[in-house]
Amino acid sequence: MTRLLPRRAGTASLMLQVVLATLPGLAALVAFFGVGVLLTVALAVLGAVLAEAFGLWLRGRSIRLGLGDGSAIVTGLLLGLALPPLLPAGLTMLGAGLAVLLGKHVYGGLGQNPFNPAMVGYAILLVSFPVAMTTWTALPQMLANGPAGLLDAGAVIFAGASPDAFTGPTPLDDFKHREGLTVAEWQAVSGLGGHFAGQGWEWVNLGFLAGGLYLLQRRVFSWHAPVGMLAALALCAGLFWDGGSSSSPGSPLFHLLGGATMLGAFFIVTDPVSGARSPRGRLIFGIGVGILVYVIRAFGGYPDAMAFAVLLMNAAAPMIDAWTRPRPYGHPPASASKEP
Amino acid sequence: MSVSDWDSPLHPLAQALDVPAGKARTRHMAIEASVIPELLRLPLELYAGRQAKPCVTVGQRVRRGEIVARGPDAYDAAIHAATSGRIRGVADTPLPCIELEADGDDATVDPEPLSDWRGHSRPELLTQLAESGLMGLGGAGFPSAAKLEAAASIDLLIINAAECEPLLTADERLLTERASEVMDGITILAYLTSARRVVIAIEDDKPEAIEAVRVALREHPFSLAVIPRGYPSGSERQLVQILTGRQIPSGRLPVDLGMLCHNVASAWAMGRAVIHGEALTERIVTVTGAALLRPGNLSVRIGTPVADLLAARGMNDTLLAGIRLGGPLTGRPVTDRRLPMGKTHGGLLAAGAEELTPAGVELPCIRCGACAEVCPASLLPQELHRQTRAADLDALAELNLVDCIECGACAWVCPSRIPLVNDYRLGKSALAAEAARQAAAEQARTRHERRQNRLEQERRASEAAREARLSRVDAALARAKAAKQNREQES
Repeated sequence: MTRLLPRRAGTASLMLQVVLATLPGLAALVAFFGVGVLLTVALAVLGAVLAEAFGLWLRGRSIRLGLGDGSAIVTGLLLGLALPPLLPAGLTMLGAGLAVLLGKHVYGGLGQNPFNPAMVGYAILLVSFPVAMTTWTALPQMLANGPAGLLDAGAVIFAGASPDAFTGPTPLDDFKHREGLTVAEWQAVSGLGGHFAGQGWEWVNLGFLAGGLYLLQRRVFSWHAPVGMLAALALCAGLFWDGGSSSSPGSPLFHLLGGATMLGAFFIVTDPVSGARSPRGRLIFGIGVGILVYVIRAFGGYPDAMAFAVLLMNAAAPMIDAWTRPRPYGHPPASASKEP
Repeated sequence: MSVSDWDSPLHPLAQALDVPAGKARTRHMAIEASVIPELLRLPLELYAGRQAKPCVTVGQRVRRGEIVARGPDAYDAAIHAATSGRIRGVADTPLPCIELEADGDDATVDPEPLSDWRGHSRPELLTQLAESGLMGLGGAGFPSAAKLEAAASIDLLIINAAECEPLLTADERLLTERASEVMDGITILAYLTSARRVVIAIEDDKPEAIEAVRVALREHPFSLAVIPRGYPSGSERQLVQILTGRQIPSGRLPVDLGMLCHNVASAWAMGRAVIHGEALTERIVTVTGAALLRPGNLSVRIGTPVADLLAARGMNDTLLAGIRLGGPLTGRPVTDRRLPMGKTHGGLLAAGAEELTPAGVELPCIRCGACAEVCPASLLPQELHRQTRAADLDALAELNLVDCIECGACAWVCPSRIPLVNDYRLGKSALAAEAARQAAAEQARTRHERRQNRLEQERRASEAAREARLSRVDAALARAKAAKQNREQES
């Protein structure tokens, strides 16, 4: 049967739907990590919008039109969601600004960037400020004392107060450096194991999953990239899962609902601009990201891997496109035609 | 299922565009006669930019059905007066046309039917079609006689009644009301092409027309294929694929695969031309759109200016987003309302904003891929867009721009409101210009090479002649020498 495809909403409306779809995940983040999340997200959006205006002005483009497409807001929002909630304000805005300027405008603006701008900003911050970028608010303390309030968060973010009182490793980070504990022992000792994946993070991931499914249902993007990524990640984790020994890199569920997995699967690898073009290409793109995320998490030096995995696959996207060009109507099958 | 149903499995498009269901507005409206305007503009344009040459004089009185212009080729469709009146002259605006002042009598020439048409030769029948002004009424406007001349013996004749274009219901009404006349036309087509199989293809959202065809088919050996709705199922190449599973190779025609596609309105007109001797002076047009007060399916005289037709049906200018000759996706925008209705126009839209491809400020392409999803030719519309803007002709050729059928599905879905089809038309003409330039250069090169060869040959010939002359001289000298020696020995 013929699958009937309706007219698409305008670009600005697509961006608005993406913003709405982040709300469940954002709510979960705020619930576990406090209002600092909101401050950081707001700062990231502000930084991205200012940089967008600056970039448009430098390039002599209409600032009103350029801001109207909403892409800068989405870039800032996605970066803000990925950053540690108590990151100093200056770093957040720097990251967001560089994401828009070095991730997008230097290539010629919206639609021209080979790399995902939010991930460019994230990667710059991660390699430049590794300590700040891996300092997360600690969940056990938060759950014991209630999440950091606005004043505390503000003091850390704006005034440079020491975040030590609130910080601790993320489950992924702590799990990676568990020093010979079996998975069951780690869960008992760290208190970070959560119900089925990682404390708090499992809910954050479920929130982003819900938003992603909404976008999928609204046909904002196709299923290929997210399903490819999640399937590849789960498959890798399943292959190397030994039931929970001291050297185990974690169960499939732990990886699917840990760290930035769902944010990445539905909000980052689905970026049409920096991804592959054809449905088959997007599937391959997603699978590549899934494999890289697992490899870096399990065997690499960083606890999470979304930014690097996505940037590496962004670089591979043009090649994937060349491989997966659809056969036009009335042309012989690919085996008979020449190399692209 | 009935005996007449197409029994090969269908190969529906994997995905197609879902267009708004605006056909409901006119689908149940019976065909009615339209106004005859005071001034008709009979278009002189023929297929592919060629023009018919007028064969009447200024001031001459003509009756309906009288030929007023002919094309350069024998099988070109003739142009007829669409009502009786006086030739005012030839005009170049809004397009090359003969202006005809109607006298209101609408007197018609005596028809010259070939009622015993099976007794006539193929060339006679083809001439009758050309003299009756027959061309493809589905949109391309290729002269019917020329198309049939090249298809003397085919395997499959496809009658295209898919009518996938949104809002238009002209073909649907034609089948609903005049199915048996359509069958007459198809019978002639099948005879002329010696078609072994004949199939009539209709989209499944037209139950009345389907029923009418089923009834009419009780007396005809043709089959009916009800195909799934989805734009552009009625495009020739897509329809061939849906019905047979085969794709027409790039740059070839259905006839190369032993198939021929004919629009259902053309088939009907063919029956009228042969059996009733009527020239093509009117066609059924769906006049519709959100800005039109009284939409309908009208029998419109060729040459009726858009303005007269719209005025007759009442237009609300405040709702008007654009006028289109044809459908919302492939129709031609009308900026000058003096433009006349031509033979290929099955629709006239006074469209509201929702009925047209979204216009407005073009935003950058975000490579969302919506265009690629709906492209029936499986091209990469966003890449084509990028390369047309970059004017990279090699890339455009590599991306198979020539295979674009300009169906407009990509622009319809584009969230950034990019007028993609305009880009492709520009790109195609750039490619054609480049090809022409290369052909000219190639021709100049061969001419030069031929000249070089000729000079070389002339040089060789003259050298050979000189050598022959020299050898003759040598031989003569030798003979003289020998003779001298002989003489010396004798003496």
